Parts: sequence; structure tokens; C-alpha cells
Amino acid sequence: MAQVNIQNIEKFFGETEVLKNISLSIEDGEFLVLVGPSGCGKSTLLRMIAGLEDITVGDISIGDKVVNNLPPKERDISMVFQNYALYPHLTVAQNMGFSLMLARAPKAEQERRVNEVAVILGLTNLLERKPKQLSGGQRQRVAMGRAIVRDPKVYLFDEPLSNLDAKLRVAMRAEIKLMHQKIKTTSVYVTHDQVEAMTMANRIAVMNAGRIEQIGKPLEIYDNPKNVFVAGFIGTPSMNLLAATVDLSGNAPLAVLSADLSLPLPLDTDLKEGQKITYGIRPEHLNIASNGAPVKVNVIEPTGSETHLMLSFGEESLVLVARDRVALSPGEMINVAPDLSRVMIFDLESGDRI
Amino acid sequence: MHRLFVIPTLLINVSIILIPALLTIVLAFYRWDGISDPTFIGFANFEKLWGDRIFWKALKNNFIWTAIFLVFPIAIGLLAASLLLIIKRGRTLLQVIYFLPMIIATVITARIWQGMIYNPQNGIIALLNQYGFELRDPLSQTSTALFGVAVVDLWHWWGFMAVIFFAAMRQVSQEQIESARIEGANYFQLMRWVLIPAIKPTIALMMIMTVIWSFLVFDFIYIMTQGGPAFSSEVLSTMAYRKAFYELDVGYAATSALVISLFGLTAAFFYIRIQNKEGVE
Amino acid sequence: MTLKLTLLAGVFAAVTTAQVAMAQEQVTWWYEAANPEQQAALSEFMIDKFNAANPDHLLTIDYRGNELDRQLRIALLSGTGPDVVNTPGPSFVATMARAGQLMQLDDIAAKMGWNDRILPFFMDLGRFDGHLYALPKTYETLGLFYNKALFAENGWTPPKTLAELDTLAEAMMAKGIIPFGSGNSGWRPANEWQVSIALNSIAGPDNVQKALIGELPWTSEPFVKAINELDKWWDKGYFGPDYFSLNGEQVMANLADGTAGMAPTGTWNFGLVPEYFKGRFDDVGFVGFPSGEGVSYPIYALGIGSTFSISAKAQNPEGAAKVIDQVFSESFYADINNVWQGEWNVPLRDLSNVKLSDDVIPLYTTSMAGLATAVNENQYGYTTWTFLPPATNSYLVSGIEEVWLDSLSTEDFLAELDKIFQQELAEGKVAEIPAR
Ligand SMILES: Nc1ncnc2c1ncn2[C@@H]1O[C@H](COP(=O)(O)OP(=O)(O)OP(=O)(O)O)[C@@H](O)[C@H]1O
Ligand SMILES: [Mg+2]
Repeated sequence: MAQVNIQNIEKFFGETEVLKNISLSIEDGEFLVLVGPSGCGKSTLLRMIAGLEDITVGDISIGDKVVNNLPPKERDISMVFQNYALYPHLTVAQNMGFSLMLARAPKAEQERRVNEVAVILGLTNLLERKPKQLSGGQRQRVAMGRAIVRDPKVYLFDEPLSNLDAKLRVAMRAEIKLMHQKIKTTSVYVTHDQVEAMTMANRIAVMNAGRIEQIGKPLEIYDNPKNVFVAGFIGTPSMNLLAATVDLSGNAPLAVLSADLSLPLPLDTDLKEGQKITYGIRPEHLNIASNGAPVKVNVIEPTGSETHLMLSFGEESLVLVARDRVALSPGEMINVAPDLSRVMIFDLESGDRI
Repeated sequence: MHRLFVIPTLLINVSIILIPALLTIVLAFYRWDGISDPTFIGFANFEKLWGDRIFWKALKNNFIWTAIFLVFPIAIGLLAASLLLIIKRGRTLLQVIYFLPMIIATVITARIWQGMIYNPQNGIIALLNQYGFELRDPLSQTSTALFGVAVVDLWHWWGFMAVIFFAAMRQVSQEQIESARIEGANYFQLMRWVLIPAIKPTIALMMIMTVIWSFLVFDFIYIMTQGGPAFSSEVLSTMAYRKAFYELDVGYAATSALVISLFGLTAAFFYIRIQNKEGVE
Repeated sequence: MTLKLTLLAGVFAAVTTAQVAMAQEQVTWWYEAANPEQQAALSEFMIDKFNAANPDHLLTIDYRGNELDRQLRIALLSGTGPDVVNTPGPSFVATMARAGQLMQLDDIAAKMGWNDRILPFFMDLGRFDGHLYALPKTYETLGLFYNKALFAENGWTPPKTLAELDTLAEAMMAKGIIPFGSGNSGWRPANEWQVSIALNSIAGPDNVQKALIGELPWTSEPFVKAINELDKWWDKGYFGPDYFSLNGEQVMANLADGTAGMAPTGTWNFGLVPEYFKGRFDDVGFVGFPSGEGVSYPIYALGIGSTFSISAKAQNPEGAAKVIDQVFSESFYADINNVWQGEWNVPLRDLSNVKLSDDVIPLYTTSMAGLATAVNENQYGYTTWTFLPPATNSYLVSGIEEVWLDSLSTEDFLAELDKIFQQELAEGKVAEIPAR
């Protein structure tokens, strides 16, 4: 087991800068999730840890060793790919024991390790099959098995679940988490699915356009996003983010959204009169309240446990999540009010949290 | 689809494949000089072939040729293709270089080797002899003539194999290769466990085609040795050619051609079988 | 750009030719490969002169490359092909004539006066079943080229007997000189030159003639002796170490620089002399090959490089006859031989009015004169490629290599040769051999 240290990493593909001054340290035994929109550089960063991409600037160390110039096989890592990368001509057992076979470990040892891991993953009955004869979930499990058999210092996962259907994904997610709790090997997990990130991670690193925007525990990030990007990216449905102007003329501070719609601001903020802000409130922190601001109901999405309301005023739109069933129909006017303690204010220009 | 659509394909098949094939079969039962009227002679050509020591020599040479071409171009091709896969820069240039010998006209390639490399008076061999190597023109020795030609054909051929194999290897999922690198595979293990198994169908096809081509081999041998010296590099096709166009014994040539086709057909049969098996799997 | 221009020019040429051809009748002639200078010579001395002299005909020569022979056979078989037909020799003519592909030339020959102009021996070679089908284009012979300067330096003289040959060859080998400059790379049938020399100069032309008409098997003693002698020369290394690697030009180069002392080969090599003996024509000599016991000296084995016939399906037989007639004219003989020796040695009876230019090497003129005398005195023999039928000759080319390389005995070689010959003889594939 080992910690992974990433220091001031930059990556260029030719002239294009894909990663910009990334520093990140992953604790021993931690399960770190890299999350971010498509193309932000998650895979690139992961592949640099693996040694599959060169490092343009900066250092990566695994344990105490700088691995910049080590080939992948000498980094003592395992990687699980989105497409499983199983070898079609080898059986499940051979696929799982691949690294031991390459290292010419004794036959008995190979068998013992493969069987051990097969038991953990429930693959014992499938050992003699070829990958073609497996379902997607089973293949994914074999791919994980292959990684586990190696017993590496670090596991790297690149969107391992995105080829699975929604239900299986949820199940596998739990399985991986369980597995990690058992073997406690440092893991870096790439996904663009923020639910996966929230549910699996010890810590999340939110990436955007080649930068890490924020690192922290899942709920920390949820509760205290550092900027508009993180606020909008984490949480489903995403946070309502509305451009507004501060109005301190009345007795309570207001965020003026449009001529006929304002929302209340928390009292303890040091905002200036007329300041341009982004007003953030998560859908689950917006409530129907008779003294609130008037909005129109456009769409009602009952999910069973809760109800999502798509609302609009003027050009702007809002989402509200209600725990209770609501008896509303599209086109109706309702009044909504934010949970003031949950309102987040960002600078309109820089996007930083105020 | 309307049935009439099949007619053009059918016509092409009949006229360029079936008719000449049937003609060859028919001719094998005739004595014909290519000029006057053919005479039916039953199986006489086949009997003559069976007793023809040169036929057996030619057949043996075809087998040797097949063995050489099953091993070397495929081995070198795989090696060169994997090299292309590993290097990132200069791929295109290397591919062009690999391909170059392939697009030089056979006659030119043959003459270059014969005149500028093998020639004991003004070739590279002559130069090496000056530096004390005791080398002979391989084409002039009965023991080496066939190999001498094979080297030239090989030189012109392996690049094609390399490019074909490279194209196949590029279809191999990048993740499989990267996974192997992470799992600790060295170059040979990568070849042995990932690349070669992945392109096995291509290799099988190339091997079967090699068998077919090896029994058809003609141009380099004809240009460089015409089967000599003393029949040492004779193969079935040069024999058939000589019979047909120098000895005006077209019937006998057709009989030898049938033997060539026999081996081609056997190879084709195996190819079809492999293909069907793959379809089922 | 250039490609476009060429295409355009081609189309233009085709169009103009087609227009002219409406007024004139085209004569077509397929020729083998020829280099640009040679093609220019044919254009100047054949095409231009012919078209000028015959305004109602238009001659075109198509250069078809090395496979002319094969192309012709296929074309004639399918009833197409040129008006003027060149075959590789009398035995091909025999088969083609019998298959009805060639026109009988008796009447044309009488009208044009060919019988008076051409050596009768060669006219006879074009006759089958009493009819004339072909005229010889060029006749050639085999002999011994030698490096005169080298001979003078060492006090050697050209050998006339086999014993003299052996003594001389040993002397040359002792000095590291290759006695017989020779090689068959590039033209594998070069072997047949050596076999032809051995058969005619050692077994003798009378025996060869008897064998050709079926009176004497090829397995008989004189031929065994001849082939054994040829094999002995090989084993002793007379032909040098690189026979299978050298081509005709390298042979001439070796003769010129004294690497080789002699070269047993044919008169067509006169075409190479100007290049390899540039400025020292006196250094090269040409004599008959030494004769074996009981065979008079010298014997010149005759060959016909190619023949002229008219296709039975000719579009313009009259024009074709006129083209052939021009080939057998004294003026064409002089014109073409001035610039291109060896390939147009047309067997005219009387060369006394032909004056070749001073640029032509004197050796050529004297050699040809000597040859004519020898033929007149019956001192001629038979080259295998002209007189043996195709399969026999093809076998001979490879078979002699087996004898040389000791994978076949002389007796087995001759036995197989005789077997193939007798079958071809029975099938009427052997040219009619004039009596001696
Ligand atoms: N080999 C390459 N050459 C050039 N650009 C590349 C290369 N690989 C990746 N990129 C670019 O680098 C950026 C980051 O790519 P990367 O694969 O790391 O994204 P990602 O965050 O994993 O996205 P996704 O979620 O879609 O997998 C992208 O803009 C991509 O186009
Ligand atoms: Mg990715």
C-alpha cells in the first residue's frame, strides 16, 4: 500500500495544454474519485499515474518513489478499464492470473491466488469460460479480479461502470466500495458521474478544464462548494444558479433577479449595494411557501420518493425538489422561498464563493 | 432483389473463372502444340507427369518455397508491424519504406539484385570477395539458386506482410495492450499473449494465401534463373511455362497447371473451413 | 502535365493516322524489342523509304518486346495479328504452315524474283510439303571470337584442332585467363551455342544432318563423344567460374580486357564489338571453332535468327510482300548494316554491289565474306535452335546444365533428348533439312 503524490503536473499534447498545474496527494488506503465533465483531463491524469502517458512537467510519486520515468509495469499498480480489456482467447482464470503468468509464478501459486479472488468476486463457477460467454457485469468483475490478483500498491479505475446498465451500475458501485473497505488499497477512481463520486469516494477531486477546482469529502463539497462550477456540478438535480443584483435598501437584503422577482439574502453577508452576484440554492432547499416569490409551474416530475418541479419566472427557470407529494398542475402559479441558511452567494464575475 | 441483378456477376464469374478453368482441365487430356489441332490422348499427360523427374523436383521446390515463405515473411512482418505499433513517430514514413520494394517492378528488383548484388564481377558480392569473403553468386549454384531467388522475393515481399499485420494490430483494442503493459508484459509476452492471438485470423489468412502464392510463384524465378541451373530452381509454374511456350506442349503444361491448382484448392478449402468455424464460434 | 500532353499527342497521332489510312492501305508488322537507336534506324531505312516508294501503302512497325513470339502465336491462333509475321525459326514455320496460318509464297517469290536474290540453302529451309512459306530474316553462325592483342602478346595462334585447343586452354588457365568467356545469365539458352558448336565441330555436320532426318539416333557414338568433350571442358574450368552469373555484355567486356582469351559465341556479337573494342578494332578476331577428328576445319553452324512470312489472314498481303521485298534489297542491306550489325545479315546471294560504310568494323565484312565462302564449300553445320524442334531444343538447354553439373550422364542426357526428338519428328515438327 502506498500514498500517491502529484506535484505541479502539467500535460501538453503538442501545443494543447490538457492539464494545468495539478497538485494532489492521495493518502494511503484512500479511495479518491476524480470527477468532472467529459474532456476535462481525468483520464489523462490517471494514465499519467499509470505511466501510460508521459509527464510534461511535474512529479508523480507512488510510495516514496518518484515514478516519472518508470514504465507502467514497474509502478506496481493495477488498472481497470471501461471496456474491461479482457483477452478474448483466454479463459476467465487465465485472464485473472495474467500478471502472475507473465511473471512466471509457480502454477500452484497462480491457481491459489485466482481461486481466492474468484471466491471474493463470486466468479468460481465461471473460471473456465471465455469472456465472450459472460455478461457485461461478469466481465467487469473479471477485470477487477485481474487487478486484485496482482495485489498492487494502487488501483486505478477509469470509468469502470459506464458500460453497465443503471441497475447493475448501482450494484457494482456498492460492491467496489465493499471491496475497498475490505482490502483498503489506495484507489484512484475516474468518473464523470457525480453520483458515483458522492457515493463511493473518501474524497472527491472535482476537475474542470484541466484544473482541480476543489478537493474534499463528498458532503463537504456538497455543502461548501468553492465556486459556481463545483456547486453546479455536484448534486442532482443541480443547484439553481441565478444572476442577481444585491439590494440593501429595504430592511432585509434582497437578491433582485428581475424587475418583478427578488429572493431573500442571508442577513450576515457583507455584500455591497448593487453588487452583481450569482445566487445559488439547491432544489431541495427551495420550499413552497405562501409568502414566497411567485413562479409558474411548467413541468412536474414525480420520482416516487420525491417530486421535481420545473418552475419559471420571466426568462429564468428554477428547479424545486419537494419531499411531499404535491397536488399541482402545469401552468399553475405558486410561491416559493429558499431555506436561507442554505443559500450560497458567488461573485458573478469570478464565480468564487463569497 | 431482382434476380437479374445477379447476371453481371454471374457472367464475370463464368467468363473469367469458369471457362479458363474448364479449358485447362480439358486441355490436360490433349496433346496440343498451341498451333495445330489438339489430339485427345486420355491420361497420357498425367502418366508422363508422374514419371517426370523434373516434375517431382519442381514440386519439391514448391514445397521448399512454401516453407520459406510461411516462416520468414510472416515472422519478419510480425516483428516489423509490432515495431510500427510501438513507435509513435515516423510511422507513415516507415510504412512507405516497407512498401517501397513492393511497388518496384519485379523486373527491376530482379535486375538490381542480379546485377548489383549477386553479380560476381560488379555486384556487392564482388566487392565482398575483394575483402576476402569467399562468396559465390547464389544463383549460379544448384545448391543455392532457389534460396538466392527466395531472398529477393522475400526482400520485396515482407514489407507487404508488415503493413497488413500492422493494419490488423491497429484494430486490437488499445486498452488490451495497455493493460498488458501494466500487468508486466515484456515485448515477447505482449506479442505472444496479446497481439498474435488478436490478429490470428489475419495471420491464418496470410498463411493460406502464402501457400496459394507459393504454388503460383513464377515471376522472380523466371526472370532470375528460369528454373536453372540444371533445374535446381525449377517450380511447377516455370515448368508449365516452358512446356507451353518453349516446347509447345500446351496439354502437358495444362496438366502441370492442374497440379498447381490442386494445392491452391486445398489451401482455399482450409481457408473456407477456418472462416466457417469462426463464424460459428 | 507531360502525361496529358503525351496522351493528347497520342490521340492526335491516332486520329491523323486513321485519316491517312483511309486513303492508303495499312501494312502491319510486329517487331521484337529494339532500342531507340535501332528503332530510329528502322524508321529511317524501312518505314520512311517504304512509305515514300509505295504511296498507296502505309507501313507501321509495332515493337512488342521480348515476348513477341508468344504474342504472335496467340494472335494468329485467334485469326488476328500483323500482316508481316516474324517467327523464331524454321521449325516454328513448319507447325504454323501446317496449321494454315501462313500464306504460300511461291507465286509472290516468282513474281518478285526472290529465288534469284536469296541463297538457295536458306530458301529451302522455308519450304514445307513443296511450298514456300518463309524467308530467313538474318542468318548467323557460331565461331570463336578471340582477343588478338592477348594472343600476340603470348605468341598464341587460334587453335584449329581439339588438341591445339586443349594446349592453348591449359596455357591460358595457367596464366589465370579464362579460356572461354561465356555466360548464360540474362539469356539462359546461351547453353545451346556451346552444344551446337560441340555437335557440329566434333560430331560433324554430316552426322547432325543424319540425326535431323531421323537416320541416326542422337544416342550414337559421335554425339556421345561431342557431349563428353563439352563436359570435359566444363569440368576443366574452360568456361570460367561464373558462367551462370555473366551476361553477354559482360562476356564481351571480359574478352576485351583480357580476363577471357576467347569467346565461343555467335555473329550477333559483332553488334557489341564497337562498344567494347572502341578504338581498337584490330584487337578482336573471329575464326571458326576448332574441329574434331575427321571433321574438316572450319565448320560454321548456321542459324536463322528469325523468318519472314505473310499471315494467311493478312489484311494487306500485297503490302506485306512489298515490305519483305524491301528487306531483301541491296540498298536496305547496306543502310541497316551500316548502323546495326548482326541482326540484318540477310542471306543475299550477291553482296558484291553492297558497299558498307567505313565505320563498320572490317572484321565484320571479312568474317561475313569468309562465311559465305564456307557455306558455298559445304563447310556449314546446323544450330540447334534453328533445326531442332522446340521441345527437343528446350530440353537441351537445361539438360546440358545437368551434364555439366554432374547430375546427369552424357548417355542419359542424349537418351532423353533422342526420345523427345523422335516424338517431335513423328509429329512433323522438324523442319525439312536440305541434302548436303
Ligand atoms: N493523445 C491525445 N492527443 C491529443 N489530445 C488528447 C489526447 N488524449 C486526450 N486528449 C485531449 O485531452 C483532453 C482531456 O482528455 P481526457 O481523456 O483526459 O478527458 P476525460 O476527462 O477523461 O474525458 P471523458 O470523461 O470523456 O473520458 C481532451 O480535450 C482530449 O481531447
Ligand atoms: Mg476519460
